[in-house]
Formats: sequence, structure tokens, C-alpha cells
Amino acid sequence: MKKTIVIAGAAGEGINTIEHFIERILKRNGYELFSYKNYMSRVRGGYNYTTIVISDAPVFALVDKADIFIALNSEAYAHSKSQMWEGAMLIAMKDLALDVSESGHVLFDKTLLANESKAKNAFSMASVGAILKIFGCDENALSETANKKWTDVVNEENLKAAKFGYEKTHIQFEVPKHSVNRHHMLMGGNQAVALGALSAGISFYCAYPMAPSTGIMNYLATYEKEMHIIVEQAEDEIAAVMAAVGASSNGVRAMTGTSGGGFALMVETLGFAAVSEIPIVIANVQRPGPATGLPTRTEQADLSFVVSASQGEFSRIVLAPLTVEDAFYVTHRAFNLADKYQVPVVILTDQLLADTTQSIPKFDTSQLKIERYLETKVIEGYKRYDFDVVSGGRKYPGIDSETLIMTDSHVHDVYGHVTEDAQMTVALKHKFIKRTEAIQLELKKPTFYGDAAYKTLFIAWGSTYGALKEAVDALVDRGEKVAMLAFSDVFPIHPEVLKDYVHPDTEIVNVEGNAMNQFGKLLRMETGVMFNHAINKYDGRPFTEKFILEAYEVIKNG
Amino acid sequence: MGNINLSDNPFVTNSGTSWCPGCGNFSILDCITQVLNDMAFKPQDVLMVSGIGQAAKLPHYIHAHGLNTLHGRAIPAALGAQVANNAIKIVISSGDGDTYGEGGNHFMHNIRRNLDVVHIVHDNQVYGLTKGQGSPTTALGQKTRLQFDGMRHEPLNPVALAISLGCSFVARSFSGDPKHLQAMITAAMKHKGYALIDVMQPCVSFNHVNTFKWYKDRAFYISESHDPTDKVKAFELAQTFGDAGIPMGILYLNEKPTFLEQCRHIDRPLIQYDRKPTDIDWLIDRLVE
Repeated sequence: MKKTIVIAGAAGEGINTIEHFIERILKRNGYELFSYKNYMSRVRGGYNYTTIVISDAPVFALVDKADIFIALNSEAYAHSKSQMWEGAMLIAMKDLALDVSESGHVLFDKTLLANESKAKNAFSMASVGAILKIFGCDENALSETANKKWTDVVNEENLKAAKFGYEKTHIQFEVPKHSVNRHHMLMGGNQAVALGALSAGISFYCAYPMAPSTGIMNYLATYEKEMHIIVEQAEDEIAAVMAAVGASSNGVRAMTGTSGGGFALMVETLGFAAVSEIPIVIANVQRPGPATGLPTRTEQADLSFVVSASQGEFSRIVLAPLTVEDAFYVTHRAFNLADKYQVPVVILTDQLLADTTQSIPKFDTSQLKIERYLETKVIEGYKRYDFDVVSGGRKYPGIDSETLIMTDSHVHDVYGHVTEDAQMTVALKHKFIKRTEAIQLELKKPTFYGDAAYKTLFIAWGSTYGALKEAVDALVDRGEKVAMLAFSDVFPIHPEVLKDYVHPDTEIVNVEGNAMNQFGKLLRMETGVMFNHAINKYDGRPFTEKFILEAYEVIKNG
Repeated sequence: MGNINLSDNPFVTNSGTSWCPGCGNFSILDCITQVLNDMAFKPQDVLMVSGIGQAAKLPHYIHAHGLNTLHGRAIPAALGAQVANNAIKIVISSGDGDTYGEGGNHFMHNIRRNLDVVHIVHDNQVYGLTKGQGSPTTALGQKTRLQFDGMRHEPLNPVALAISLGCSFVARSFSGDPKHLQAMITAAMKHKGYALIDVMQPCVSFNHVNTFKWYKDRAFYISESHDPTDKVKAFELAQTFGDAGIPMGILYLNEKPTFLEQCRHIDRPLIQYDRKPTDIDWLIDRLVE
């Protein structure tokens, strides 16, 4: 059973503090959760809110409206009605909501609260206390609001306010929960990508700050010393990707991350990495474009750009993690693939994954392996760019005491020296074709989920998986013959990837977070299979189960 | 090339070049190979990094590791290469358009970053590879194959710019004075930090103003009384160019920690750290709490 909490207010008013405590404490108390920040591109003020979905079962998507709405200011209160289910609960200061009856709501009296606690964010802490009471947490859980970074006085006053909220709340929800401590982690998509990179042995991360990708750099910088890596803020995205490529060319694993606008600046280097066969991993955390677009919102509209970015023809890999958990394993795999095929690998996430916090199972690093595909022996007449070798066999400067390595952005001979020879030009093309074919066979098949006797097949990629999975669950529960196919490995597409899934009577519904069905068209181009219907979301906000179900109804009713 | 001894030098290749006969690049190439050999480097110890342009072809003509990147992007590539493995000495070879035009932002910010590299800029005050357009260092009013009525921009003063940014080593030399150029490259190689050598160089095909003779007639050695650590004096000296004479030598020295020295948590080349997936287990355990 799901319960949804919305915390709404202005930037800097305490949304993140409330969210942080609620998530940590409810997680420790055995709940699963999924939360998402809906914020404006500004540091202070504005109307922002965070949605937290709490459940006994794993949650993969947002819910449209709140069961509990915490209003931090009058503007939030004004929005509350439209963001709450009928009969939902409001948590607010009494003077904000004079027209609301106390029954079924938690309204704090300003004077009473002020008498109880001198905390600057007394209301925030009181609402944390209220939530803990509502979700049946023991009163001892309140002490978990202590933060080592704050002074004892602040923590004491906060605790008093939380206690006040706990005591003034007399409603409890019946939400089943797991036994405490299920070894789950609270994680966001950027953090998962950063940890995936660390698990893959990254040495150097070079980037230019850009929402919503900056969290990757922040996380890596936090552990720079302990992990013995270098995180460098470059002067621009061109420098960021070139430095990462330069580091990779000298043998270490390196990465950069950005959003669409920054990726646009990295484009020439993408081709350079490909032609000079330098492995590189680039995260593009998508936000709506074009140009500056909506900096803090979400969209899946960079796919067509990313799969074809840069002049000329070459091999590349594009991976779009389905979930926060997947983002970790995909990133780890991205480094191995980059090394194996000596290609650029783009990890395509989005603001939804980046600004999601999810309770997920502990990562299992014992299953992971760093595979470098290097040639460490000294080889007489070593050909760094042998036209017949599409994977492995790589050497870099300094790998042994003999071999000299030439790396070049031109069409080059097997030793990396510039050439304009027609035959070598063709041989390089053929190498890329063979390499792409090898990659097509290597990439992961799409994830199938739903009723095996499906008549309708939803197709999605990347983060749309979450909401679609919940929609498919709901439809299968009602006896609908539906299933979904979710792609994390979105490029290159094997021409027969849909063969086992699409039957003559299968109705295909393409579900994408963009307006122009970029993946649907890519699939048609590569496989010849065209979708029959489409469900699209392109208002900068993430898909929800409800949105997909309503769109599906429209399709069904023709 | 005059007094340069190229026999038994492991850096010398017998590959041909695609430079025009008489190009100043030949002398710069010879000076680099000579200094590398004199300083007892082995080809395996050296990585030649470049962007795109005539000067940027140089890594292909020298027997060492090479990284011939994209137009303007030699410096950030060198940043990555150095971060990965600073046991390999990096020499950047690029032209005036590559360095000061396309790569201008990287030039400025890597002076701040202070990589430990030698950056030799082949400054012929014209675009060679694209056949004769004005470059960032072409004089105001100078006619080119594109700017028919003369340049409309004032030229960029690379050494003054570098000094103003506190560049760790700023020198100027001339391809027509190999002895001086070798002395500058040697000093730059010995220097710890970002060492810029702006090398005046004639372009025999496209620059008929700044010829060998033009440079020769104007270049003079910086007086021994010049204190290169005096930033203001260095900046003043850097203003002298053209008919007023062109000072050659080390204009400015600013000893300071290199980029990697600022990364105090790294005590050996990154390539030497052993890494495994379980290295993150402590972070994961922390997240489970």
C-alpha cells in the first residue's frame, strides 16, 4: 500500500531537511520509498516541492497527488488542494490554513510551538515528528533527527519541535512495513552513476557544472581523497571531455558528465575518441532542450542527438539506465564496454533519475569485475590500430618500457600515423562496421515484464521503465493482456532485437518522455518494426502510472 | 640544421613531413629532438601533444609517444594525460591559431592550472594549414589572403597575456636562432610548471611580412640585468614588439606549485593505483546504515 507525502515551499525553506529526515528514518523503520524533487531553476524562493512515495513494496515511480501535504508557506498552501487527493491530510501552521477544520489534519499552533522550541525550523521539525507518528514509528525514532554537523543546542531545540509534532498528531496510517534494517540504501541516480564509476576503478573525473548532472561530480569530489582519484572542474565542457580522453589515452579510466547543452560542446571530441580508439565514458543527464530549455526539469529528448552526434561514421554505445539501481550496474558495465571496444560510451540518464531518491538493495560488488582488455606483453612491430582487431589488444604510453604509442584524430595507418590512403580509409570504415556488429551482439537484451500472453506490448527506454512498470502491474491486475519491453542498451540496436517479441497481432505502444518518439523511430529504422500507438510526456515533468493508464484508456477506446 | 647534430638521436625519424620547404617548423623540430636527446630522455619518456595545424603535425615527425588531438584542444588533452601518468614528460607543440584562437580559453585557464608541461607555440602570425588567413597574432592592418584590406583586429600579445595571468614560465625565441631556441627549450624542460615558449617563425608560403629577415632584424636578446621574477618589469618588456625590437629570452618566471602538487592526496601517478570494485564497499556500508 502506497502513501504519498508532498513537502512544498520555497527554495531554502527546509524542504530538503524534512525530506532527509523522513526518508532516512522511515527507511530505517522498514519502509520502501521513492522521492523526486520538483524544483525551479533558482537558489532561493519560487515554488518547489518534493514528493515522497512510501510503501511496503519497492516503488518505481511518482504518484500524482498527495495523501499528506506539508505546506511550508502560504503559496504552498494555495497549491495544496490541487495536489491532494480528496480527503487527504494537510500538515501546516494553523494561521496558514484558517479555513481548514482540524479534523483529519495536523495544524500546529504558532504560539504553542514557539513556546516549546526555539528551533529556527521548528515547523519543519514538527512536521517530521508528525510523519513519524503517522507511520507508526516509535517515539525513540525522534532522536534520529540529531545531526552531527549541527550544534547541540540546535539539535536539542529541533528534537523539542519534532516531539511537539509527534505528540500533537493523533492520526496513524495502517501501512505495513518490513522488519527493520533490510540492508537497503537510499540513493539517487547521480550518486549511483558516481558509485558505478568508482566500482569500475575510475581515476579521473573532469566536468563543468551543469544541472542536473552536477551531483555526479559532487559525489566523486566528496570522496576524492579516500578513493585516491582526481576530480577536476574544467573551464568548459570541451576541456572536460578532452581531459578525460587525454587521461584515458594514458591508461587510466576517466569520465565526464554533463547535460544536453554541455554534451553539444563535447561532440567533436566524441568523434576524436572514436577514431583514435580511446575508451571514454560520458554521462548525459538529460533535461528538456533545446538550448537552455528547462534546467531543472526532465525529458528524454537527447536520444536522437546522442546516437548520431559528431561528424562522420564510427562506433559508439549508448546506455540508458532503467532505474537508480540499474544506473550503478550500467555505469560499471559502461567502463568495461568502453575498454573492450575502445569506443565512447554515453550513459543517458535524466533529471528524473538524477533527482530521485529510492530505497534500493545493497549493491553487490563481489559480482563485478574490472576488465581492461589490454595488451601488456611487448610485441615486436605492435600495431595499435590493426584494422582487423575490433576489440581488446590495446596498449597506451608507458604500459611497457618499449612500445611507442601514436594517437591521432585523422584517418591513420595501423601505427596511428596520418594517412590519406584510400585503402586504409576503407579499412577503417570496415573496422567500425565490424565493431558495431560485435557490439550489437554484446549488448543486453531488453527487459520483458508483464503478461506472457500479451496482446499489447509497451516499449520504453531508460527511466520511463519505472512508471510504465507500475502501469503494467495495474493493467495486469485488472486482467489486461499487456506487457512491456524496456531497453537500457539503446544503441546500437540489433536488427532482430524485436523478433521474439513482436507477433503479427501485437499492438505496440511506444512510451517515451519526448514528443517525437525518438526511440520508436530508431527502432523502426533498425528493425523495420513500427509502433501502432504512442504515449508521450514532454511537459518537463516525469511520467506517472496514472498518466500512462489514462493515455492507454484513450488508445483502447480508439 | 647548422650546429645541430642529428645522428644517433633516437627521437629523429626518417619519415617525410608535409611542411613547405624552408618552413620554420623544421628548425623547431630539430631543436626539440636535440634537447630531448641532450637531456638524456628516451623516446618512451616523452609524450608529444598537439592540436591541429601545421605545427600540430610535429608529433608525427618525432620518435616518441604522440597525441595529435583536435584543433585548439592540445592543452586539455595534456591535462588528462599528465593527470594519468606524470612519469611521462609532456611537450605540447601547437600554432598561434590553435593555441591563442581556437584554444584560447584552455590557454588562459591552464596557465592558472599550472600543468607541468613545456608548451612550444609556433607563432608565424598567420594561418598556414587553411592557407593564409589572419591569426590572433597578425598585426592590425596587415593584409592576408582573406583580410584583403588588412586586419581589423589588434593582435593578441601572447607573452603579455601569459605574464598577466601569472604564468609560471614565459619565454620567446626564434626558429631562425636554433642555439637560442634550444637554450629556451632546455630551460623550459627543467622548469617545473607550465612553460610557454612563443617561437617566432616565418611562414614562407603565406606571411610575406613577418619573414626570416623581418624577425632577424628585430629580435634582440633580453639583457642579463632583466629580473624575470619582476612581474611588472616582465609585463613592460613584453609590450616591446615589431619595429621597436622583439625581446628574446625568458621574460617571466613565477615559481609556484604545479597542478599535481596541489592534488596533495595523490602521491604517485594515478595509473599506479590499484583499483577494484570492492573498494567502494565502505561507502555502500555507510549508505545502508
